[in-house]
Amino acid sequence: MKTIRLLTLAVLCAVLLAACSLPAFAAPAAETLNVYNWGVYMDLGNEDGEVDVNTAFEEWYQETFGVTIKVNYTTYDTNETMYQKVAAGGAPYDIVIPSDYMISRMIREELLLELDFSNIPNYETEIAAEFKGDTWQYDPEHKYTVPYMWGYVGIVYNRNHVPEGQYNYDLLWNQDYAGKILMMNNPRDTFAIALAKNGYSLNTDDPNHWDKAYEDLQAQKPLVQSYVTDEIFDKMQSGEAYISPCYYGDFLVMRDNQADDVDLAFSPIVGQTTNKYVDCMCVPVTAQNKLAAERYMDFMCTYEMGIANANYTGYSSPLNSVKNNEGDLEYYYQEDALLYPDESVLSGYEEFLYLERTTQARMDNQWKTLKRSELGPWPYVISLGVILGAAVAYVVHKQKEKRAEILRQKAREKYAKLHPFQ
Amino acid sequence: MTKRKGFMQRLLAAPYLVWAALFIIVPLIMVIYYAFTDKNGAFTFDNFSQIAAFTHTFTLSIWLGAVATVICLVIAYPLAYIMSRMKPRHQRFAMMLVMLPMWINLILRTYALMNIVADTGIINTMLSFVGLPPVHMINTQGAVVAGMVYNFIPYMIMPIYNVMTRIDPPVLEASRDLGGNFFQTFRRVIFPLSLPGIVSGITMVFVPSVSTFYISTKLGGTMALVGDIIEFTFIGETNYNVGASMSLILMAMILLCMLVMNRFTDGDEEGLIV
Repeated sequence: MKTIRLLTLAVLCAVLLAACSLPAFAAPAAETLNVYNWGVYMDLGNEDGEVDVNTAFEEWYQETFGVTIKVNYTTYDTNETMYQKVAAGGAPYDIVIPSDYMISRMIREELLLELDFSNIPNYETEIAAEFKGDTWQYDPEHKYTVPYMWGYVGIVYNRNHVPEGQYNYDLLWNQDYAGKILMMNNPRDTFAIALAKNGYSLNTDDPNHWDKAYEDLQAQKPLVQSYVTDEIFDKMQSGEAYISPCYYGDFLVMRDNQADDVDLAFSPIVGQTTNKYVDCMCVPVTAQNKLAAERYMDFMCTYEMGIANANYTGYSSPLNSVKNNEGDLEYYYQEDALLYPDESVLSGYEEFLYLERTTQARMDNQWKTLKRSELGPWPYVISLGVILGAAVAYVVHKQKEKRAEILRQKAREKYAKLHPFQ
Repeated sequence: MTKRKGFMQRLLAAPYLVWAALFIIVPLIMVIYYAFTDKNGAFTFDNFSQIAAFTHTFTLSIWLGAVATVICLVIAYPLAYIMSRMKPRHQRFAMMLVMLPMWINLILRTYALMNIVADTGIINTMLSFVGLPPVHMINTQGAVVAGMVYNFIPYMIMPIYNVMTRIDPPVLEASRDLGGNFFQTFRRVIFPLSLPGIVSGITMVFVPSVSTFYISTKLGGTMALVGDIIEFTFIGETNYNVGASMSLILMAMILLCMLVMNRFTDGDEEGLIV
């Protein structure tokens, strides 16, 4: 008894001690900055020759402002996951990096803070002019966002199985490649492809357009190997799939990692529209350290950091200094014509805009209906068979027991007759 | 003294009670609340009317879960029996082999399996190396079932092995002394005594199999099980009300399956989970 009480006391003391000492462990940094970014979307210096941009920021912050800061870096894999966390309000992120359509949604729902651009002097000098005019609609007044990376969707294909050429989305409906086609595992991107194929706007509100897109996707489903997110890399690099819609930056990474017997090539979309996108750094309303967040954005707009991230991700940078490589750092993709296509090409492409609520709901419902599985008759037949079999076995078993009981009863009676006086 | 002992016991049980209340009871109430309300919090049955469109998806999930459970049972039962009759040292080693995969995260294991059964994966590479034709395995129902078996079979072996080790050898000797051969001993002694283990094993494999979403996405190609649909309803569509009603239906269906199964296994064994 006494030992139990002592033990409990000891455990309680230990818990209390641990609780007291926790803040002490977290204390050494005077400030913290919570950055919430896409996975594999920032150079964290994991390999030789790479730069850990967050460590670089911490050092720069210490030197410039004389304050120690700790960057808490976490990642998400879809805009929607990030949105959920920010909208729920529990997580105090200082910086998030959503895509265009999610930015306009978050602005509408008042989830983002207006930035103080006097803390981001590099924005004025470094960010390319096209992001400050009215080319893009996600942040029409340019009050909430600092562009981080941009790109557009085309088609990646394996030249060992698909002849070299200029393609558009009709290729994804080609019967010859049944079972070797990948699609993206989210409704907005997948429906955009079907809309573009039919010559509709990616942001249409016309229900007939969405119905047609849905029909096309339904017809395409038997040809599709899988709806993928990050597995696209494995499946394309290994030769498991031959054709997939793909961001140009991702294609560059895939090409670097392809297997020996795989020969990947990229075709921009010809004669149809496609999605161009920008991901921007924003400060959500739950931020605890807006000033440091703005300084972080400013730091990410420097040439050195821009090059590091552009080399690492393969995406197009909104920084003039990176696009033209104005310094003396190595930029792997500088010569790549498709990474920074002409304005004439880009103007035919569309960014995702905020969809009206009814359109969004229709799309979500059609997506779920598209994805649900069909089922043949066999499971029902077999289940019925098993249940019937079990029932028969149960009845037979009961009958047998009954008969055994009757036999036993008879034996007892016989015994009683033989030994009447017991 | 006894009174204080009661207090101590209650104190020690308190952490779990708090845990259960916070993380089991409260979420369950929230699921029920969301399932029967609309976006404005008004009472409604509408959420359930949407579910009719997904009948086949529900059936397919339960069907594949059941198939995976049966396969697990067929593999695990003899294995658990053999393991329980080994020397203690060998038992520990065998146990470790069973548990070893559980040290690796489910997502990693599934991703690995994806690369093993792919058309250009390890198995097909080896087949073509020895001159055999490739076998298409990935993106089929079979691959999804294989994923479930691969991930959840330790949950079947563990409970059966546990009850098997608790069967006293003298009981088996008694059966043999009374003239029972191996099959009679198995049918009348071993099997009834191992029933509680089978029941909890089936529960622990069936429930996660039916509600899985990661395994079906990675190994099933374009297939979506009910878990995938529920996940999208919550995360992609942000529609908690319909998502909760689907979860509730799934919970009810699983409960029903377990009740039917318990009927077949006489229902009053100890160690039942449902």
